[in-house]
Amino acid sequence: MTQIAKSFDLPAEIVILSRGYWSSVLRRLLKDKVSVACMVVLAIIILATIFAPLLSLYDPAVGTVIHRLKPVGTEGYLLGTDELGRDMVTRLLYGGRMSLLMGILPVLFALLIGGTLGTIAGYAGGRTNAIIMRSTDVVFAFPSVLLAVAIAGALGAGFTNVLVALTVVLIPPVVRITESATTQVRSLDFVEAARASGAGSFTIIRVHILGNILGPVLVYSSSLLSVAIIMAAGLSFIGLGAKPPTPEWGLMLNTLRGAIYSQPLIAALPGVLIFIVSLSFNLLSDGLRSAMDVQ
Amino acid sequence: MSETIFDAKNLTVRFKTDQGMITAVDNVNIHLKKGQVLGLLGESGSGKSVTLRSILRILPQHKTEISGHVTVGNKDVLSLRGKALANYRGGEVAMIFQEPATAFDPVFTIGHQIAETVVRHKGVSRNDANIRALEMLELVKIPSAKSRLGNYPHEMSGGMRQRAMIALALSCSPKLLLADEPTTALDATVQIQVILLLRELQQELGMATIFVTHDVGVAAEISDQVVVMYGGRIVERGGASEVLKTPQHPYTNGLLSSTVHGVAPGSKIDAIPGMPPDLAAMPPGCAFGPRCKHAIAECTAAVPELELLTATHEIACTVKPKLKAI
Amino acid sequence: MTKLKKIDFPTPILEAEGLSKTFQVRGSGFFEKPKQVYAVSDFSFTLAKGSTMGIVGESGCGKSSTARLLMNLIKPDAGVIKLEGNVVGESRAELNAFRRDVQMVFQDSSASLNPRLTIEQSIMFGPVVHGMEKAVAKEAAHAFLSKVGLEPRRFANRYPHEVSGGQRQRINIARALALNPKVVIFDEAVSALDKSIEAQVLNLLMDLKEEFQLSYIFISHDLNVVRYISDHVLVMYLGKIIEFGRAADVYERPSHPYTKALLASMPSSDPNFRTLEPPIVGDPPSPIDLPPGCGFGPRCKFQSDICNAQFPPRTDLSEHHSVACHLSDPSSGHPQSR
Repeated sequence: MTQIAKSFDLPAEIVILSRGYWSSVLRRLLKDKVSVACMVVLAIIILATIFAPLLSLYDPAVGTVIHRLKPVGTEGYLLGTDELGRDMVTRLLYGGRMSLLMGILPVLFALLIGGTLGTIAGYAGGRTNAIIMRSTDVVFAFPSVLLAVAIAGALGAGFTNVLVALTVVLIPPVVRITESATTQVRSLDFVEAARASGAGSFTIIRVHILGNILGPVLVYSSSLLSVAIIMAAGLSFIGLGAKPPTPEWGLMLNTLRGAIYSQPLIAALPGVLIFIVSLSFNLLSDGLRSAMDVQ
Repeated sequence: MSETIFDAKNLTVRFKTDQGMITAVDNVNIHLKKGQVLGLLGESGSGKSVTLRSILRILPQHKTEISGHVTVGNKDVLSLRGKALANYRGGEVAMIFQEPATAFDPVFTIGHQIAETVVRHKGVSRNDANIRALEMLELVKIPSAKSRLGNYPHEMSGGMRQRAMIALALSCSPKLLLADEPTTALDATVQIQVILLLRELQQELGMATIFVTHDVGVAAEISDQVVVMYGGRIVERGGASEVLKTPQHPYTNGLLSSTVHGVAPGSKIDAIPGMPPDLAAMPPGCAFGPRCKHAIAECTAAVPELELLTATHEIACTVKPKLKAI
Repeated sequence: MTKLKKIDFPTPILEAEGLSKTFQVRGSGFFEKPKQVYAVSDFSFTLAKGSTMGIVGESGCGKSSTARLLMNLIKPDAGVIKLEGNVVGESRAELNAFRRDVQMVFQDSSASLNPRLTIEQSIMFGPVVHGMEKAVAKEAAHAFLSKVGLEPRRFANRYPHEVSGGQRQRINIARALALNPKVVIFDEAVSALDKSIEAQVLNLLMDLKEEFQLSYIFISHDLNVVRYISDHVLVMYLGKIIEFGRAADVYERPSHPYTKALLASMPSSDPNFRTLEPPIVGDPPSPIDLPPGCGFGPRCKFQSDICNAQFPPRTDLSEHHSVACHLSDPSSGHPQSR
């Protein structure tokens, strides 16, 4: 085909490296010192919990009562021992697995279920939207912590039940944010152009909508992580989560309550870790949002 | 003998960006007497809007470097700070924007916002300010002005909102009115009404006006003097007739010939090839050089200075081709 | 409602008969009934193959809704669309085929292209949806990029935020052409561009129309551009066609008072001959709760009783020029009709 119009633009020497959106987001994120620090801290903690068997010297369930409540820095027990003589380092590492899983998994499930519902609601509009969103509103009306306690209480204590409870509680906010983002994107010209080229709804959602809503949804979800970690620990604290002797940070906070006057540092340790993880996720979510803001 | 209201010498505005410092406005000189209307004509990236915003001092401070000498009345604009600056904005100089919907606060009524400005600048009582607000709405010919005082911005149509914005801008009798494409977003029949209104008000109240537009027709309707900007620099200046009917700068000439008005339907438009320059990578010498059909080697040597062709008509061009009247 | 008398055109390619669309808007109070927005009423026209139809009007006239109705992006409440003489049905297959034949170019904006896709991916999307193989579609996308004056080597892998407004519009045009349509609808496609870039794009559109044997519908509020590019012009007011004819006829001998006012509203380009009086006062009305009869009545210098009673039937002023106005209809009963 012969070329009709002359190419009016930059001379040949100037070549612009096209950077995809996500790589530029990553670049900006890595420039932010706070975000990098949070990522490092989280990576260390997560890796440490994964490699718990390699890093700890003891069995988390076994303790010698003679050695109970040894202070931090005791020979052989780097962070002391708990009220049953179990090594704190070991307990914290193994406990981290539970705590992190109980916080992260519900968010992932909520993303999957809530994200799907929200996208459908946002794209379909009309009646479907009304049904999904109003149902979500009903669940959302309950204070989240109370709802989680109620569900976990009804189902009984245990790891899976906590997952169920937290997932249910986290689905409504995810549905809301996904629906709102989808509705916004759906009204943009390029979606209409896609409809005009004859594409079906699923193709349009897959190609055009998902990529554009991922940003705000991801930012929101990372802030949900910080909430979920605390809620999971909270449920364990009141006895609805992990069952002893399983180590878990929230549960440890409960069992170490008695030691708060004799060994305050040890009693605080699980709380400190919960705090650090939650805060890191929160700050990371902020950093992610700033990184995504500028085009 | 008309007094000088506005004088800008060597006004230069630079921005800090990821790609380094870019010069958005380069060495601009403008002189306005009382009652004069200057049409500032240019396309995207020409620097016209930045010039206006630098006069009102509403550019983001940490990213902007303004240099030169700007006076309104006898106030040195660039050295104003704090309270003096706040008094200046809206008081001696007022601006009307392109998008009236976003210029007003959606949670307050029009009447409230105008009255608030009057109270702030004139220090009169609320009652007096409300009377003044009503006066202003009547001045801009808004029908049923009294009931409109209680209207919220979203309750008014585009044309009404634009009139309300003009009322707001004129409420404190500014010496200088800055208009940034105020009619671009309006329908044709509304646009001509607003242009005529502005012309009438300007003649009646006698303020100096700088009217930024990319539309040649609008510039023709309202300007006494026309300045054409390209790449942040003034490339042509003269009376409205001179510049719009006998443009002498190749860019102005290209711009006027490439408008669709008057071109025989079906025939090719004499378009200017290429694109406006990237302010971060300006070509050496004359900014218009790469797109100009009269360009010669000397054009890249240095940025051309403005030179008078007649007593009132000047262009910044090394070649100065003799162009025919449009 | 009387229909437009069929004027003889060579080979009609796209026709609309009696298209109407009304939207519901919630009433302002809690108990108020929803209001009707009469976006488009009884819209009928014929687009001749190889010609350009311009549609002009101001805010609220219904031109954007008309574009979407013609594209089958929204379903009409009444009326049919015919492509090459065949009524376009509602089945999936028919709509799909229609989509290949009629495409649209939107107003340039940062939202006209998906910011997460590269230019070539955006252009390939349509053909791939219709079954073209990815590799073939990619080649075609590159070919169309060249056609619109953008070197594929430099533009195919860029993202929308890395190109200028004029370039984006060229890409939008390439995207529309990639499906090899017969008709292209331009909805304010050059309105957001700088004048010098607009000129380049208009030249490009004229060339493409010839090379690909296209027919255009060009919607714009810019009267100069419509005059330049159109063979026929349609003037809309409050959702109805009030004047229609060859571009030269409508622009040089406008008949409807609104058309006259609209044309007179164009700013004069001569500083020595400025406009002294606005041709019409007030703002374009909203299509909610229309005034009865001819919607233009309240603003018309020649308004009379018949104007409020009924919407004027179409009067043919000549073979190529029609208007809907009681003034021009000798049998209307308007005191000043000729």
